[in-house]
Amino acid sequence: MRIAITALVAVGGIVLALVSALLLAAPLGGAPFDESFSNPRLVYAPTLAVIGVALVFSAAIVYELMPRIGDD
Amino acid sequence: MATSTQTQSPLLPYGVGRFGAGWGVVFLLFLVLLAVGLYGYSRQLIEGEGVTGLRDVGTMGGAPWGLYIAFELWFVGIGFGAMMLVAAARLAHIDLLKPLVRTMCVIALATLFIGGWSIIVDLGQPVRAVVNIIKYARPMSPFFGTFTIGLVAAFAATLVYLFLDGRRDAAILARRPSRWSWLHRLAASGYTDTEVEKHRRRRSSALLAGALLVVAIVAASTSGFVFGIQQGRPGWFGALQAPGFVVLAMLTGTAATVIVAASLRSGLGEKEALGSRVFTLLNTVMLVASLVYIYFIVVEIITSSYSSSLADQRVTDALLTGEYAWMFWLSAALFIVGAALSIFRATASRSSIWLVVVAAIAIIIGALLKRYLLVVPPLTTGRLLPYADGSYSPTWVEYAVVGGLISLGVLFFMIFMKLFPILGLNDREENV
Amino acid sequence: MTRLGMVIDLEKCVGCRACMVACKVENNTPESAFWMYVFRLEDGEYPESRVSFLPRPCQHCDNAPCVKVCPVGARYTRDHGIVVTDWDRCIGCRYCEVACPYGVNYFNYKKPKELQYLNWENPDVEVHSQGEVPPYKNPVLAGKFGPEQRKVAGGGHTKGVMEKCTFCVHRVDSGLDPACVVNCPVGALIFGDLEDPESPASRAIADKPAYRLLEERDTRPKVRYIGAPVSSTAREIERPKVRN
Repeated sequence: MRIAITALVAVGGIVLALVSALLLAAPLGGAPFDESFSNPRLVYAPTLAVIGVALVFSAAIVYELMPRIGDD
Repeated sequence: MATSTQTQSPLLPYGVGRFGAGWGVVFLLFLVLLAVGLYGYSRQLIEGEGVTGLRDVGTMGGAPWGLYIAFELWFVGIGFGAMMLVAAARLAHIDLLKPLVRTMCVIALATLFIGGWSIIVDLGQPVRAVVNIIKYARPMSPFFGTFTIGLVAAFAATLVYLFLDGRRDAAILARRPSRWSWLHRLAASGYTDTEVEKHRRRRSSALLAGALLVVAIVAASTSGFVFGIQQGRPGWFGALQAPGFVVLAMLTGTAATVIVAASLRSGLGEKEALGSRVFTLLNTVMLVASLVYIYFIVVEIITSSYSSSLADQRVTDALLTGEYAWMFWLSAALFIVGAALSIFRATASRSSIWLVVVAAIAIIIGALLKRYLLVVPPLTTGRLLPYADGSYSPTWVEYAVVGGLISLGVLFFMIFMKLFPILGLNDREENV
Repeated sequence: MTRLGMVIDLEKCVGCRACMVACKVENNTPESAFWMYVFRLEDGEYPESRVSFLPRPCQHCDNAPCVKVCPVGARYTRDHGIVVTDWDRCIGCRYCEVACPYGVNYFNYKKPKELQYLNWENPDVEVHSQGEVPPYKNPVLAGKFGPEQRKVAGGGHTKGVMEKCTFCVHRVDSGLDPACVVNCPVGALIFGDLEDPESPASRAIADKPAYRLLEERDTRPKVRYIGAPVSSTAREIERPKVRN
């Protein structure tokens, strides 16, 4: 169970980071030919990417501390 | 006030909670430097960056990036290098480095922290920047990697590692009555050193160390890509930039660790945990990394000397024989001296610590010059249209701000070492 | 699709720099900022020397390195191909400037009024120029432009942001040519839609070989040059003393 939740947090973080960086932030690649390249598809997408990145590492905290949170 | 707790309890290890006179004097000194930096920065905020030596390329004949960016690269490079060492210590089970793991984590956090601030002070619109970056940051810009991986991921990964790795020591400290026991209880977060917890610690620290290594390498590379993928700036474009950043990060991270470890050894009188063998090990890392880096410099110079582009050639000439030659050759000499001292130390029968420290100081200053040489000469001499040569000399504001940034990092470190033991406690220390 | 560009006929250019002056007046640019700049170059040694001129506006690249590196999307390419800076979003990192091979970017290092030629807050300026001198904060330049409604014409030249030639976006959007183009006394600058074969710009390069600056850098500029390319050994006759 603990491993499952840890993996969920880690994978969730990676997915969130990748999805927001690649799909929700401003488009990647090619010669930027119009204004759409300058705007994220979802405003604050970079914040989501950063939260995702931070989540990946906090999975380790979840893994080591979780039982305590549950028991107490 | 601390004396009252001293009388009723055994001393906390490594000077935690005891603010001695020596520490206070040094702290005050850096506080003053920080204040000077803040004053300089306030001038820059009010007047604009006209108070710095930075000016536009082209008709204005200046460099729009200068001291701030050079130091930013230097700072974060040290941080990424320290992260690599932390990861290596865990992954290769290097027990000698165990006491230094926390020190290296704090070095990384402090340098990443001031690295982030170095970017902020370079910006023309720092307040707007914070909002616009989290709102609009574009993955197509190499800065996106700097923000997400170079700063946030590196900082988060190191912070998590520091926290989880320090829980056992925090639990030991929490059992001793002191003003700070609440903080130590918080940091221990319920750790009791059971077999289950030890098992989890082993598994998660291995995985986390692996992640730390990957993040440090990717992060150092993104710094390199800020320059290495720019076709429009002679002297920057090249596939060697990113790997060069990784090696220099490793080298400077190790050198910084040597310098800090030696200061702790004499400051804390800790001759056992920080014995000669620790320095021998760090010396070996420095030796290998400095030889690889010198090789990189040679490869870079040979490649750009044979390059057909007139503009690239002009930058190389400025480095080898022109305006920046003194700095280039001084930097090269410092790397060579560092490497030579490391070789001598590795083969000598006497195991002096100061030899390693001198090598580390030579290398870390050489690296700072190298960062400057990467940023500035391509801007002042790397022109593609027939502009005249430019020039750049930093003003007092830039020196003051950079001094303030360094002070900020040192203060960060000094405060940390009074709240938590800066060195890892011995495993045989009483059970939790 | 419309792709606005400029043709610069070096065979016609006499190096009078009227375009530079027109640009400064039109865009109210600060001291030492030359959104349009004309190189006056010489090559060889006297008496075998040769003089040439090279007007250098922003090249408005199709594959603009400045647009690619902008971390917040302040520098962008508009629908009709003009590369502009949203000075209301720019954070002043100057990455666009170091990435640009042409040196066309100008950063506002000081407060705007300190770098204007006249103190616009002095009421005499308006009285003596009979209202001809543009106000310090030109309302036209401060406006929002295009369907995207962004502030791209330079505005009041805010401290700490990047600026450059906008092809006079405020004029182009109302159907006028850029100020440098209409002020060129010899018609060396021609503006128009490069995709429309009937536009003046396209006609100017229809029967003459045209080239772009630094083609090998793959920036694909929308500024085309006619006439002999500048020699790689050419040097500026006088260095501009413009370091404020």
